[in-house]
Amino acid sequence: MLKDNLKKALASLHLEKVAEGDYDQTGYHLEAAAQPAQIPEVAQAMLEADCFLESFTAVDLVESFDLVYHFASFDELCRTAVHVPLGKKKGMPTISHIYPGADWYEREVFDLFGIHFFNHPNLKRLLLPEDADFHPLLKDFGASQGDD
Amino acid sequence: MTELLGLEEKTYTLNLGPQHPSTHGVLRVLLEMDGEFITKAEPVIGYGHRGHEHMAENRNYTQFLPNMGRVDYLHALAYNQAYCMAVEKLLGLTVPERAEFIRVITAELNRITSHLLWFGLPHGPGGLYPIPLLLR
Repeated sequence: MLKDNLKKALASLHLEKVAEGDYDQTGYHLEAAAQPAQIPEVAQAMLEADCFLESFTAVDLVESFDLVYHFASFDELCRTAVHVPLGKKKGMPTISHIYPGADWYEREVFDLFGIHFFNHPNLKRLLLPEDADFHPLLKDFGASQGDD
Repeated sequence: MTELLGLEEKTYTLNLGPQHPSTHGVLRVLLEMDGEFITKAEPVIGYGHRGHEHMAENRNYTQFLPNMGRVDYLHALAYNQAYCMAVEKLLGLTVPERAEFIRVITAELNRITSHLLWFGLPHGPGGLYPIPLLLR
């Protein structure tokens, strides 16, 4: 089973957490937590298990950032969420050389949260105009006070 | 002399969109052309970006419902349904059977109009004529 293989593969990377998720509640069979520097290894392991990168986003928890990588597989229903607690560092290794599809996801996170991805081939804004000087999904972005 | 004129360049850059009939204002593609062949294409998106996530941060669950219909205006009811189901899951709610039936019926009717529009767009004379008929 893919889930067991993934658990084994991720266990060998000495991540902070690899646990079974409650699929009915969260939609994820596996929940993992990794340090920023470990994420290229994690991505490589997921790629070798034939998983694809379903989505990648960030959450601004005010005192820190949580980056969330979602992986899934076409062969078997097995979805994995990998959380990366980033603190307030705003810097992160890219995985776009492992998953080319991560290129635009990382550009989006850079655009909306201002988090940089080291060694990204083309890190520029994806959605907002290139001359924008703000990152609108940060909680301290002004319009959070009310947009009506 | 040719150097000064830029004639030694083998390729040139062509800008497609966003104001172009086929991209109708939401997509721009920077094309690198070698004669009539495209050697490289860089999409520039974001013209349709309206910041729905940020709007959701400032509204309660009910207030945000109309936004979901704007994500895909051709199949709005399915997006509303998906959103409602997510909220219900978060709140631990179960909807009555009657509501489930209504959801299936409206989503399927919406699917028919959505498919008819897809059918009408490229197939009519000039592509555009059937749209007003199908939207009725």
